[in-house]
Amino acid sequence: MIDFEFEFQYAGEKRPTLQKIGGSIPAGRCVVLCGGSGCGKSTLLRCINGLIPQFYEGTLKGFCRLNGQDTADMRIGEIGELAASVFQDPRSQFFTVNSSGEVAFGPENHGLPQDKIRQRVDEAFRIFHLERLKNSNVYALSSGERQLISILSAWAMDTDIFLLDEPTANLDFAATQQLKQILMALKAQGKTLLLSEHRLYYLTDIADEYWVMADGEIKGKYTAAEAKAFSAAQRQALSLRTLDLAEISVPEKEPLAKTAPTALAVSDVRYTYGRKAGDTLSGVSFSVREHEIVGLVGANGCGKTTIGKLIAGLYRPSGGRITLFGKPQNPTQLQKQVLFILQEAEFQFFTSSVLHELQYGHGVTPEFEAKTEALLKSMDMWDCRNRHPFSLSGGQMQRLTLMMAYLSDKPIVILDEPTAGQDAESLERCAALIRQMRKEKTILIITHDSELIAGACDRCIGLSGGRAEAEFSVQSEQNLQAVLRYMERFRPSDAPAKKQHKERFHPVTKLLYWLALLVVISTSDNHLVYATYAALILLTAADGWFGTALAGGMGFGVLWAANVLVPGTVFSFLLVLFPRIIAVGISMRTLIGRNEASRTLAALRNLHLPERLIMIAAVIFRFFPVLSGDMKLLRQSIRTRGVFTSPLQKLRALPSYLEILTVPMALRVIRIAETLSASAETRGIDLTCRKSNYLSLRFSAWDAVFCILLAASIAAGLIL
Amino acid sequence: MSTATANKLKVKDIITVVLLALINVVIFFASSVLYATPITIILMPVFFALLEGIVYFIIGTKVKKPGAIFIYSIVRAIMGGYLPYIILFILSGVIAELLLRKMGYGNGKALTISYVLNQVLAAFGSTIIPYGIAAKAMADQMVTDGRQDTILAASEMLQSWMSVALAAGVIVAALIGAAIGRGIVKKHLAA
Repeated sequence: MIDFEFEFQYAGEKRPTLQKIGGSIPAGRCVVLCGGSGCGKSTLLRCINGLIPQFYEGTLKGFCRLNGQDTADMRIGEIGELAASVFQDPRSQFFTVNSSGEVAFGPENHGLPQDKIRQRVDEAFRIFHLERLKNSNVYALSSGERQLISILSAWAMDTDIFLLDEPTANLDFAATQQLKQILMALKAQGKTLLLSEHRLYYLTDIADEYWVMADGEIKGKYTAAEAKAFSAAQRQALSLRTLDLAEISVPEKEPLAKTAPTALAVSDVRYTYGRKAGDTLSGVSFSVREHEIVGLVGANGCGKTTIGKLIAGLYRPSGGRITLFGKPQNPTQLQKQVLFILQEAEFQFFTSSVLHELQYGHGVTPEFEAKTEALLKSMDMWDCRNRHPFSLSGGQMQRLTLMMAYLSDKPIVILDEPTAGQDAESLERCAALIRQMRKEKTILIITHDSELIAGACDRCIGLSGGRAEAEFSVQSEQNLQAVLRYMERFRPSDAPAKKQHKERFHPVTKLLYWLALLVVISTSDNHLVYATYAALILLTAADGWFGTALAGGMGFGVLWAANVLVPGTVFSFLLVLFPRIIAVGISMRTLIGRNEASRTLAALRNLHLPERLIMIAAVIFRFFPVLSGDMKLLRQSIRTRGVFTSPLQKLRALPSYLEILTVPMALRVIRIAETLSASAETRGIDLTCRKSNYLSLRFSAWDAVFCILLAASIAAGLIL
Repeated sequence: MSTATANKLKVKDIITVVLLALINVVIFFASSVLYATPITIILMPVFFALLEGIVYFIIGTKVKKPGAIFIYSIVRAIMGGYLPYIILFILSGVIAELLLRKMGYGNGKALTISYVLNQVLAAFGSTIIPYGIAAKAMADQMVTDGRQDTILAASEMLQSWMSVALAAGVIVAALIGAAIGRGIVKKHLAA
């Protein structure tokens, strides 16, 4: 049961975000907070879970009682024992790299005994029928699967209350359906649910009440039956999205000229990620006519974004042909004519204000200024024109990228999920802008948003099995229902997630190797370095890293042979340097690769290292690979916006190039840090109680053998 | 809330600092191709001194609390994976903390001085010391191979003027890097 009454003003803000606002939710009920962006939904949830005022500072008045307990003097982690929180971005709320470890994270922070944690983790996966996701690498999971893991993590806190902040903001159609099943199961268990949401259609069988918020107040509380009976006009007045997909209407669209030539033709395009077996895209063919708006739909992971990036010249196809306006194009030519708007909006901002962002790369004439002003006003962003793009909400960022596309000189625009997390009014504005964009451009929209498809698209193409397998016109409600029926066929993969490698060594053994190598490579004793390096290569192979061991061993062998066959300074230098440079890298890989990060952290905790140090290690282990991936997205964004196309340009404007390479990353990680720490705090990371370990670690004979090998190698190196 | 508590690093601050530090680590790893030849190795510290100022100043300005730069130094040091580098980088973090404590957290001058020091010490840890060790090891290797005549080439690389010139280059580059960092912070985080 939740009882609250709040008034809240963020520090530094001129107006309160929450006016006097109050409510009571009986146990076992589900209430949905809805309303336009910025109406105070997330702020209300933060007041209840204690992030306000302890994490987000400001002036808070009022009270909150969870199951009758006043939370005023509780720490965030203690409130987390009464109410579990789920956040909207499943990409940045995880603290560990392993799904089971993530579910165990909260109970570990609360110091539960190991057997109890294991029991709770097993139960979480079992009762929600998600055993296939157990003990998986979270990088290998889809956004939808990650969101399910975050709900299991909340469930493992064993609370009666769940607070969910836009849990479907980053989910596709199929994942949303799966989330619905989980929420129904939670409700059946008697849990009290309080959700903030824009997307409402999936909640019709779950919600008991809808509380509509505006300007920091609850303007109305409606029962499920009352909300269901809302007319389209009532929903529009309250800025609510549809509650029933069958009721979505398709507006009349200006027909495409019958003689419109083909703008984009994709013929038998194939693409393979890395060296994995099988093509991601195995022969995609479709065409888009000039000034047409085509929606690209398909199940998660079917290659929608990949084909978009191929068309934009950001990837090179492994086969097939892409033609623009009748002429075959290579990736460099495609980059000049196609703009790809990434789903991850924040990678696309290079300047310090909304206005500058829209002007970036354009000659600012009075006509352009007038056009920009009109555009900002039509998208309800004029008041934000001087704000830093990173200070905008997620929905506002999406709208800004859409405006950038509108102002772009490129004739073809690809939009990747442009309406994630948009309220009803913003969605309508976005659809209208895309329709307006159509006058000068040809548009491909990668989306699973049925309301956007209805409002903007002329046609839809269904992608499945690496091919374009279906095509739908979107000119009537009947057409739209056919698209929806097609989308309902999408199912999240039932295939078991890739299981983690069976570990052979205790992490402490590998830590010993790491420490030994740190010391050894700092000496000039070649024999010592070579002997220890050989021991490391053996350990790496024994641990199952055959490719790494082979590359490390062969690389050294080749240099050795080259130095013997072609004696000279260069090969001598490389022979000396090679093991010194890569040894620690290989050692780090055995420590944090695959599932090892969780085990290494458990080992560090067993060694009674300070919790703050373990937290630092956890963040490094979790995010180093993520940030490397983010850097790739940033480079794609720079390429598609057409700035700094040659090395000479980069050199000439070095400070600007460094700025756009570093600042978006820095500002993004500041946002990630906020979400991650909020998520970790609600699960008790800052509690002072003694923390426990979910994983149990044991030394084996392998550890003994390889510790002896290390000692013998060092001794041999010193003697020789 | 007492000042002491307000000035203490919170979970959010620690995570922010670690993640920002990782950006410089990513840049460091992405540029590790410079390790491929003896000449480009020498240029690495200059290149990093130009690049790393942005993140350093963002941390110094965003988290104006004791310990932030020290944590940055620990993360950068450990991820460097080389003992002399780790020791010198952590030492630079301690010096930075002392400077900031005296001159004020977020103070531009303190951040500039500590950044230059950080880069000079890092240059010793990442290049001058390992280069010297590598040259010595290479000389040993050549002796083992029976090619004493080429030792001369190795010893030439150890000329002390190179270390001095490198340190001077790093100082200049670090001052430019600091200026870029200050400018970026003013532009993007002034509010």
